[in-house]
Amino acid sequence: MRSTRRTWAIAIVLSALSAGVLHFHLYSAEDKRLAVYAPGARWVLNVSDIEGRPYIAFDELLGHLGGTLVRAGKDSARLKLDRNTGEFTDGSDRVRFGRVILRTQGNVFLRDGHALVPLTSTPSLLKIYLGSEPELHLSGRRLFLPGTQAQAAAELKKGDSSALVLSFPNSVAPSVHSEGGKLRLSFHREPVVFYADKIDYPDKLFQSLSFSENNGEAEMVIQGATPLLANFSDNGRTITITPAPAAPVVAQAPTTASPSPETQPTQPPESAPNTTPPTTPSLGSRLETPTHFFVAIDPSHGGDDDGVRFSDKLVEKDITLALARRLKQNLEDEGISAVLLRDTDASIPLGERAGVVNARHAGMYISLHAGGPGKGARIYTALLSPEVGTDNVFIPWERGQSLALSRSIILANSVAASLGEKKIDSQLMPAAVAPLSSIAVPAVAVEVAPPKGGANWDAMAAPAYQNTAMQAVARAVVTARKHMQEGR
Amino acid sequence: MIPRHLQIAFALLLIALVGGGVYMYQLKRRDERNLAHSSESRPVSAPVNGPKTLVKLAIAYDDDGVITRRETAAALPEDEAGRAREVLRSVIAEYTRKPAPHVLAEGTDVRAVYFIDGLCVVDMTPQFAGGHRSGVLLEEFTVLSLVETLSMNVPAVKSVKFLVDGKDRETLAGHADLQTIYDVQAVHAIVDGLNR
Repeated sequence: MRSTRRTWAIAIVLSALSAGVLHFHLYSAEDKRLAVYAPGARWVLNVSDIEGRPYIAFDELLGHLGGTLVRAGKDSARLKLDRNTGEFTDGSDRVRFGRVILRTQGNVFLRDGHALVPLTSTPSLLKIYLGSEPELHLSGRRLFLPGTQAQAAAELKKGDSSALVLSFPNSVAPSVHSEGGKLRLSFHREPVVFYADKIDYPDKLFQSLSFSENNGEAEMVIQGATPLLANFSDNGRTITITPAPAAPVVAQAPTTASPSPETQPTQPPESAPNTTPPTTPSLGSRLETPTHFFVAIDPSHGGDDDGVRFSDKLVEKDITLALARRLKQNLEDEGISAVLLRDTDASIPLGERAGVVNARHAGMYISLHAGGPGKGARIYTALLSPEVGTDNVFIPWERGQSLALSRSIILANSVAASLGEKKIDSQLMPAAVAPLSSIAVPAVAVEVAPPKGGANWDAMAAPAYQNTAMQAVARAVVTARKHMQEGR
Repeated sequence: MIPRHLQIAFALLLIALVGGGVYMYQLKRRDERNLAHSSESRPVSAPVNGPKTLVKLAIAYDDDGVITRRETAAALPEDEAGRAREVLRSVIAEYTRKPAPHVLAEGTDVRAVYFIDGLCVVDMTPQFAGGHRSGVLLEEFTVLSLVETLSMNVPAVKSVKFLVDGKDRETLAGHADLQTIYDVQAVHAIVDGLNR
């Protein structure tokens, strides 16, 4: 009896220890990410700690490249990409590719429908699938597929006032934080690499430039003797760091288009550390904007962010993209240029959306959403108090809309009236819908609901209904623009 | 022929084996149940006793697209933070029972309330955001309802900031901005507008 109790006690202790270890693994892996850079794309994968090693779901990575996972047996799975098929066995450190066997640096695990592979073995596995070996920066958890690294260069130009010129092969849009004489450029999405960890400058203005990689992102820190300013030029390929002027002024986008100066002061919100509003459009490299009046159409969500899931096949991000394309077409039919912030299933941070709209001086901004409850459409303006502004007034990033709010309300009223003409019910209200409050031009968010309410999502997704609604919005833009011009 | 004492020993071992199996299975089931309960991380706070006072609630009705104000009775603590926490719990209780006019996920609760002058910082449990239905109006209704309820019952509240599990969060469920600070007067005007 005593021995049975002891056995039970041991079993319980072991169970508790196992649970503790599992808990530790789950929580320690919570925030670890691997950034994978492919030509024209970046994916983020979760990194798990198993047996003290970092692991990734290799099938997810291969899935982004077009690969598929086929469960072969209880303890094995096949991952196929083009002509290459690897056979992964649970608990084994050998992956078989036909006659070739690759040993991984740790066992492979098949769990929850995923093939978990040691991160350190990922490059050699990918080499077999892709034919060339990607480069893994293990400590920074960044994986570069061949030909994707963007090597940065730095040159200190001395003169009356020194300037540090950073050059990049492609457009970049880091978020910029300024703390005293320290300027921090955080590259969240770009595959930026640098040839040195730290460069010390024998200069009275610039002291050092350091580069680091952490958790799938890169960061450059420029240490200066005085507060520094980042100036973007060459379509985001060059960042010139100079001493900041004594009284920085926050960007305020005009409502009419003008040649866009690419120099902006860098004042991200100190009070909101999670927001990373870029100071230059990170979409700029792939977003061609007209030089005259244009409407920035923002199909909300995208990528990993589905928005509302109406059914297994119908998600908000697809509906907003369809609505956006229809709105663009209808605006162009009205003779107004329009630009979509995304025309693919791309994930774009909210701050980045606001950043590109402000930096490119869009004439208007329309964010599109879809969902219930209710029927028809809802038109939202930012939940802010309108401010009577003058030039050179400092407007915090999170209140960037306040100077344009009265014109946004004109636009919202115009949309409501135009929808009414099309017999579509609408409701107008202020709301804190991100990123409306940071948009410095007339801006509204339009949420399209089913025409007759309820959960009739198919009716909401019907092309005829969507087109009628977007015709109304396009017509409203024309009317509102006219009113704004008359009021000026 | 196996000796009788060995037969008994084998039988006992077999019973112990089966019993152990059943016991381990039950342990597993209990762990699963505990795991389910553990996701409900409501903080333990002392129950509020004493005379009940009138509490004004701003209740969101999704189907009607309105937020209506009504009154109920609840025992409230003396201190402002405790009072704020309890009135929020009163309105959350309306949304976590079935059927509800506006649904919040099970486990939604207030972790803590802090006051910085007129700014009321409300720290919610992870289920508040993690289990919230996505949609502009649905998310706005949650925020408006909570802020309006707070301002109606705790006059010291001038603005409200939401945290989730002690951290700043970009949006509630993809739409409503949680990084903003909600001005109670602006919210009051919206709720009035919805009821017109």
